[in-house]
Amino acid sequence: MLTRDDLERYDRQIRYEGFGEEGQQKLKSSHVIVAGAGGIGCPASMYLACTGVGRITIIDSELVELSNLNRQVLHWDEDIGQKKAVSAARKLRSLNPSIRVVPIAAQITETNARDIINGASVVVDAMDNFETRAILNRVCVAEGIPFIHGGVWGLCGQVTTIIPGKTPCLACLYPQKPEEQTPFPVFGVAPAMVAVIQATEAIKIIAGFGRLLTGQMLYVNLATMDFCLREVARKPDCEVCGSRGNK
Amino acid sequence: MKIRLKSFFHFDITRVFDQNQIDLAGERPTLRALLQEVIQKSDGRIQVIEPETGYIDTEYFVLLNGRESQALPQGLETELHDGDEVGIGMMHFWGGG
Repeated sequence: MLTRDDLERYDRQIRYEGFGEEGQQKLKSSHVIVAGAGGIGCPASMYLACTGVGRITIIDSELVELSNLNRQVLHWDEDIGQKKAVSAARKLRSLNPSIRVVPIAAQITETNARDIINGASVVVDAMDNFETRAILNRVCVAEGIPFIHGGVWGLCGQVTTIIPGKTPCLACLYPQKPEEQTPFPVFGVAPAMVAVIQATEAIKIIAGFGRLLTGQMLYVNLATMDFCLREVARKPDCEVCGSRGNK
Repeated sequence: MKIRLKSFFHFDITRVFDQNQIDLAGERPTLRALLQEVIQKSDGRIQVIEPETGYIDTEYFVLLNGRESQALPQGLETELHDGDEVGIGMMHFWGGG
């Protein structure tokens, strides 16, 4: 049930046609997992929090470092050395005290992933490595939870929304572990842009309006201001969501 | 003939192409000709065509006016027209920032 404060806090978005109080109530009842409290996870969780997602779980096992501060906007100088999940949760609660924010300062593994994301409305991929993304993808597909993938490099970014059973999953797109480089170059604006698109997708899924980035990968290059949508297809023999998968 | 180029790479493409378009010579240039031009201008840095097979390298995707190159009936031999838009990107797995 929306309170008087809710109606005032979210007044501008409640006025959006097709969203209204019903959409706001859906957000309030929802639980979004933000997997990663880095360059993508910080802005994604900020917009999910201020939009009124009722419960946000933010997961990150790392500590805040000085070199994070050009882009991980929930962590400040005073947080260096602190757990990222805890630092992020503290700011998010301050941003919107009416929601519940749960920090998990742990690594996502094959063992704990199912318990962590159990019952989530949506999982936002803000991870920095392929292995954990692959675990999240597998569990989301198995549990039927929408998974919003985002990635960045330099001033480029990519986003796609995975609806288990309907769209290609991450393993359809990346059947093998791709080459990874760490640390890689990144300007803060690139993950911010990707994160805002991911948060928008999460809001639309939960509230049930708009058109999603399903079956499409959005590519963005902020150096050249090029944007494009590329159709992506399911792999019938995908090891996760196809005939070779464990459904 | 001017072809607009959209690019998605993990390096600064503006150091290779200062403009978002390529001026192609010849009467009926193909998509392959454009990609060869890209390879040449980038000093091989954007090796979008596998030299051994002549196909698109698996690390890349190529879109002509939003359509995947493999889905074009003539593939890389598709003739280009003035104002066409070609998107080239890497299938690289990008990080969480």
